[in-house]
Amino acid sequence: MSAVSDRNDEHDELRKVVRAFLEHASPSSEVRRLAETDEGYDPEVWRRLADELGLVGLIVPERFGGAGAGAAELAVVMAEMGRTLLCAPYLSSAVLAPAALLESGDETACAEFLPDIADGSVIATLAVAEGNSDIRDLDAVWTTARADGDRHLLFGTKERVTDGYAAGLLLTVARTEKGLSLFAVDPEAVERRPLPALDPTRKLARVHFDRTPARLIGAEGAAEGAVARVLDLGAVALAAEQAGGAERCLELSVEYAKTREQFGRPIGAFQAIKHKCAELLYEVESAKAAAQDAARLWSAAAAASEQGLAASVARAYCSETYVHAAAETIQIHGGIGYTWEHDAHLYLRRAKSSALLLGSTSWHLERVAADIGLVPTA
Amino acid sequence: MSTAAEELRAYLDEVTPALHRAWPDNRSFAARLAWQRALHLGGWAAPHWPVEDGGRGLGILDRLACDAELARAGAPDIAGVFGIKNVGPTISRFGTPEQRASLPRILSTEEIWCQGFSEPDAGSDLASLRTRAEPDGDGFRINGQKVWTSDGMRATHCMLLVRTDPGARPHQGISVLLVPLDTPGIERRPLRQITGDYEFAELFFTDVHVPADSLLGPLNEGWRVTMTTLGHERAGVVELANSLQRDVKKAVAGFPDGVADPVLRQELARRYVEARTVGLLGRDVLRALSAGEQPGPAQSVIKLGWSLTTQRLGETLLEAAGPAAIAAGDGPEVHRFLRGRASTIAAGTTEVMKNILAERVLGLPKG
Repeated sequence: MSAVSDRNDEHDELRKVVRAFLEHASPSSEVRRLAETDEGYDPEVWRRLADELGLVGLIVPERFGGAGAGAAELAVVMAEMGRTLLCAPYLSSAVLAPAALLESGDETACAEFLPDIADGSVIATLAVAEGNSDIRDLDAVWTTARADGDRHLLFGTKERVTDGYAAGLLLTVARTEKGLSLFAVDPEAVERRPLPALDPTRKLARVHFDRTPARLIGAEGAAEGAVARVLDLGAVALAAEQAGGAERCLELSVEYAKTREQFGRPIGAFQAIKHKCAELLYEVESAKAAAQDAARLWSAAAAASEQGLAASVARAYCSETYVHAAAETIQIHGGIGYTWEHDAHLYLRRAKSSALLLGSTSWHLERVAADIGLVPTA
Repeated sequence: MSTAAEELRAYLDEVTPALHRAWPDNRSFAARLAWQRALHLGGWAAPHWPVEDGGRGLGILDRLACDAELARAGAPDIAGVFGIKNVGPTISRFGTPEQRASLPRILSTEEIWCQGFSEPDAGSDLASLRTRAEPDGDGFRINGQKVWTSDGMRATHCMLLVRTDPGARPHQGISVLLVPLDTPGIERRPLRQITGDYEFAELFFTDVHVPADSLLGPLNEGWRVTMTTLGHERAGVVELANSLQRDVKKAVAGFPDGVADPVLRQELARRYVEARTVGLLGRDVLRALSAGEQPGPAQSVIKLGWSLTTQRLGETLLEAAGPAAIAAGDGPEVHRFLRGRASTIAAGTTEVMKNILAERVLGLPKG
């Protein structure tokens, strides 16, 4: 059940290397150990991801110390991480934060921050969402920034900041008179608290700014489009992670259905189980295809409108597929699937939490509807 | 674009305007006959057939490129669809020189073929078919009944699956007979389907005598003979995936002012997402084939994805049309909604398809 839709040899090689590494570095026992911690990652594994595999700086351009790879390679890596539920600040520090710096067009900030992010020595994240609003609802950003000499002061609270507790560099979006702007904040200067998350394998935090000194990144008032692009790239990466997780759920289900016997035969011989697995096969293959297509369009620098549409198609499809796959994995496993000891609930937690993390399914569907001309223009 | 597709495009540019003028509603059977004859005159009725059979011997990529040209030109389905898709290739492979004489007539629309497969007690379990052919002088005597025979009323000939060895196990003891439908003893009745249309027929065979040379392929090996060309061949699933994408795009274009209800428009967006992913699976299969590789599971799941999405599309479009659609006679939305039920039954029910995916792709044990 390898990723058949992607026949690129280099990607196959990358996939093999990452899979082999994660099989050792991120077994279930490690996932469970790290899920209990506030930081939620193993510094040694993070260092090896950066040094040995060069994956932390994957999408960072070479001139800033990264590998200069594209979304297609990122999708391969994210899919593998999704399969093992790797506990690491990868989405935050290897995707969202570097993408935000790059999109800002602020060369000075890129030169200052990206090398440390790429070599793994600084963990960075991007804080956007506020209150109970969807992260894609940028109108709901009411954190404000007031100019104070050559810096700004921030006021407001960010919610569900991925790896916000472990981060050594916080990028965030705040409103000035000129509009949404990107800022860098030293996390030591803010009040931050780990949140009790549905998915303990991806850490979320609340970050509170109260006269917090911040440095403007890029032009003031220019962050709205840039942040939307960053969240779209995040959606592409997360969709790949979701497709990988869903694929693993199907594998676990099929393996179990072949060996678990009830009524004198393997439960996989019963049509009720077969049909669940066959449906998941269709959905998982489709999810992988949608995620890879979005990644390919981002790598190929296709038109921005095509990229945005593909990102939302992938997210809408992969979110629902992963939740369905994880839920069916529990059902197919029966009682054992409902236990704390079995990993099935970790996948369900990751699946549902991811579905709500970077734009809900309904947000992405509405975006698709708009892009294909189904939203009436006033 | 492939050379073949370019050539076809040039030909279509020449003949299409007149066809569209003569047959503005190009879905009727008469229109489909006219289109097939026009295509045949240019040598395009079955370009994927071997040259010696009257085709152009096109490979899968050229063939799909040609399909895309036909779709672009607004061509309807070909009239003799079963003759060209299944019967012709089967005759080409197993037929005697005399039987092969049908091939040019299939291309020219002189012969329209149907497939006598399903029976009242043999649907998904086709191998349990009971229509019998017994030795009778120099040929066979056929008794039995076929049902759900597509194009059964229009066809001139039938590729008939019959049991020739009643003692054998289900998949053995079946043979293929090539039967002209004007043979005495054959009665046809139109079968009205849930849309109110008559696309199918019931065929009744009462002591129908056919000569020995009606037998296609070896006696009692009819299962193998039909299955060689039946089933979801690769070009077929790729084209299925492409047609679904075209369908949804067209449906979306039917709402130029958008859809005010956010729930409905998101349902439509879902259909778009589903169709697009099925299209991507088709593209992956195509890419694998172009690279000379074996396509993976993507190939096997396309029919399931097509079935489910096509059915849901019918449901969604009826809702999106608004309540007036339920009081507008047999309008396009109602028709499509009802017809959608067939997509999870015809050519292999969704349930059988899932069994096959589970057993052959995922390796789950047989029940």
